[in-house]
Amino acid sequence: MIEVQSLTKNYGAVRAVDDLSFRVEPGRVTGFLGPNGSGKSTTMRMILGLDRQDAGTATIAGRPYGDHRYPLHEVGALLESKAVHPSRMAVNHLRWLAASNGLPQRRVDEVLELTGIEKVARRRAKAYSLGMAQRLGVAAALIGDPGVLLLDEPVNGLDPEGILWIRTLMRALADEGRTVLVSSHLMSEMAVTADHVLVIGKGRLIADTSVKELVAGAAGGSLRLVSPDATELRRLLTADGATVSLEPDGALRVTGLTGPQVGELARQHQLAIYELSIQQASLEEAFMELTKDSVEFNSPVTRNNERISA
Amino acid sequence: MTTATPPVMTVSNATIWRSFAHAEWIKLRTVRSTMYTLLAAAVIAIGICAIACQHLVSDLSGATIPLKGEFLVNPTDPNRSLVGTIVAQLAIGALGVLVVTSEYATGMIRASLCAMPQRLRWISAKFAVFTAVALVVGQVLTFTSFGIGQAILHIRHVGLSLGDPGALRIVVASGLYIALVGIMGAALGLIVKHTAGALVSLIAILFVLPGIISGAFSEPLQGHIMRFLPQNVGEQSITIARMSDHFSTWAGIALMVGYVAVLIAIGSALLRRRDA
Ligand SMILES: Nc1ncnc2c1ncn2[C@@H]1O[C@H](COP(=O)(O)OP(=O)(O)OP(=O)(O)O)[C@@H](O)[C@H]1O
Ligand SMILES: [Mg+2]
Repeated sequence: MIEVQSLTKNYGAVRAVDDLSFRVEPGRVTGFLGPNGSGKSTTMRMILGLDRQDAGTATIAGRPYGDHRYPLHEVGALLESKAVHPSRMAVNHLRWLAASNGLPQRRVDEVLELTGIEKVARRRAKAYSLGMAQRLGVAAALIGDPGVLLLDEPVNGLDPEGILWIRTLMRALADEGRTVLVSSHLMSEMAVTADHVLVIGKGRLIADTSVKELVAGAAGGSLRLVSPDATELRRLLTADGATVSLEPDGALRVTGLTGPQVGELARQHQLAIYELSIQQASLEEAFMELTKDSVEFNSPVTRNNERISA
Repeated sequence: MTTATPPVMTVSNATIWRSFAHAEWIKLRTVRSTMYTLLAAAVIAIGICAIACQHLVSDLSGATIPLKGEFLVNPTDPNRSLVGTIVAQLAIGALGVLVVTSEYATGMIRASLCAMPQRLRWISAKFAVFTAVALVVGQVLTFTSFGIGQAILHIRHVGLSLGDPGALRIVVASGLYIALVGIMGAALGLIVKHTAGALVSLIAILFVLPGIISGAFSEPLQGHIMRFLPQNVGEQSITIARMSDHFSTWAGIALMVGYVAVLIAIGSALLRRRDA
């Protein structure tokens, strides 16, 4: 469990984190969401004792990071910036990490295997592709078999296979009862990865809610439905209390029912469904709506649009 | 072999410190440039010493031997076989700088502090490991240089042995001096964080400061100030005779230890406060 209380950090005149309080519970993936520059990385660095806060406290398992005697046994972190010496072999990077926390060297082999980089373990880190480097970072985070994980934008720059791998891994770690905090600036990514989300903007907490609620709220419970039996389905859905509208491409936009409810309805009436999805676009829109007052860099286009619509 | 993870909360401070030192030892060993730098230091230091001694020997073998008064007065001036220390100190100093600044340059400092968050304990382990390496390397370099150099001089029967008065003193002291310059480099790296900046500071202290002081002050004040400079400590450390405007060998080494201690204290205070 991670607990953050009234955490505040200034960089000169910039208030990067502003009186931030939240809890990250074990057994679920908690997304840490916010636009660029909203203070996600800074918050994580403070939790890890790397940056000194100006006010407030951050504890992991009840104690400040620096009070953990062998912290890798309890906490694993993957930070945004690379933290590996480029001319050191991956395996040696893991070796010194293991040695620093009194971990047996077999842990090095175990995490190399777990992350699938045992074949390239004797290459120098600078020869690693982005995906391999990210896997090495995950291997380093897992070396002490920690109960708490902090991952700062772990899917950045990864290909679809890599993204899926990270997602599955996080899911598995949370299911084992670990605390997983993962940052991202993509709401759509969090919608499929996280159980719970913390949304911040300009260093302040905007939302602390379950993904279900957020998705429902964000998309207005809206689903996209493609079916050869659209007309029949539309009638049935409306009869069940849903609001249904027709999209330009012939798809239905359904509000007021959940995905499973729509699917069940179609099955009962033996109607085919070709596509049923949460409205991703509207998810990002809702996220922008949520954080629009707190984005640091407003592009001129966005501002013009606001002026026009205002 | 135990396979069970030790109960973390009961681990003693001493055990943790040893783990940190072990990690730093692995770090030092597993970057190629460390070995290259040490090898370069050894080759250059011993090579220069051999060349200098060879040069002296061929001078002595010429027809004008009796005119070579400076050698005949002190034909066994052993600093001929230790001139390589001037180059060696730079190589070890650069290594010292890099041992610390590479943490910052590569972002590894974050991994280090996540794994070893008690910063003073970490930095003391890091310095202890580097100090041990620098001490060993310094002594190996000076003993080898002395041995090879004096063997060459022995061809003309002007070599010294370690048993001669003052010989062991300068071999040990110049080895210590090299190690201290290395630690000074590491301490400057801790203060400055950037490789180039720390290297320039080290070179400025070793080689530029003497020029500035000799330009800015006239005798006798100049001499009084110059004796406090590392350069003068280094000169005395390779010379058997007591030089003027220099502290005695051991007083000079003690002075260097003091400088290094102050720099480490400043660097550690900054490390404690700074964001990583
Ligand atoms: N070391 C630093 N020195 C000065 N300002 C900083 C530093 N680190 C962060 N900041 C500032 O603090 C604010 C928050 O930055 P942070 O990196 O925590 O945001 P983030 O949410 O991680 O953004 P991103 O999604 O782009 O990674 C920004 O305004 C940034 O410019
Ligand atoms: Mg960030």
